[in-house]
Amino acid sequence: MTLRIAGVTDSLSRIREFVLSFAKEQGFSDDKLGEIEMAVDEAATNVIRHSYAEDPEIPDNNRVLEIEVKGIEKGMEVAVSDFGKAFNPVGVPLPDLEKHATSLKTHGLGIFSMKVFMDEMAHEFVPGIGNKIIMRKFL
Amino acid sequence: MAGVEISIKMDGQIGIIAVAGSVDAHTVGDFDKKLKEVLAKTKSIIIDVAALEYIATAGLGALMASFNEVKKGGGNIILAGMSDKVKKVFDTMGFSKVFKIVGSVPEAKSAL
Repeated sequence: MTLRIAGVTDSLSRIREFVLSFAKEQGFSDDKLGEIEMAVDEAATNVIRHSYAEDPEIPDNNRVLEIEVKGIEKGMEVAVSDFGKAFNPVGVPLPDLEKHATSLKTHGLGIFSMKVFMDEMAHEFVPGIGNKIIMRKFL
Repeated sequence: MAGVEISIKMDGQIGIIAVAGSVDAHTVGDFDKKLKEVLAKTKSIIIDVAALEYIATAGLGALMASFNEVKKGGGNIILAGMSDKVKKVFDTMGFSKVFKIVGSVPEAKSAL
């Protein structure tokens, strides 16, 4: 099942709702639903804020996000696709949380939440098309 | 609730901000604006988060920026009534160590 939606922050609540509704059907606990919700929201936010907002060359009709959900053995997979420049969040090192807390900074925490809240994460980039972040969560 | 509803009231020198719904990258602007509005009046702030359903890292960023400000002014921000779901985000991101989190607004008042 795929949701194709405008790559703007106004779409975030609809994206969370779409993924949560599917995840609930798969039987995830409330605890894990919250983790999936945040990981997907942060993945989409990253594209909207750091790819689409900062790249005026992307044509308007390409400023969309595709959110694809599917059931896998003992869990679900959610893929967030964009049409921006290559960016691999999997390769971004995890922040030092102790330093973050004392420096009062939050930069990098979006990617951190994707990594800690999902069980598996992969990145694909197709030149001329865009990025696909694939995240899996197990029941 | 898809959006966010934020109300502000002053209780003596204490500013109380009640946040309901979701603070994400779309609604964080409202949240930040209300925080700054209260910051202009006082450095003793309680945020009632009992009806906060979701907070993204964008919301945490706004919160941290305000926290920085109140600390410079010798004040504090206390969070009251946090759900287990939101608490988990604070715990995971290391923010439970930074913010004082209590069960209710009256408890926060006596802690300020």
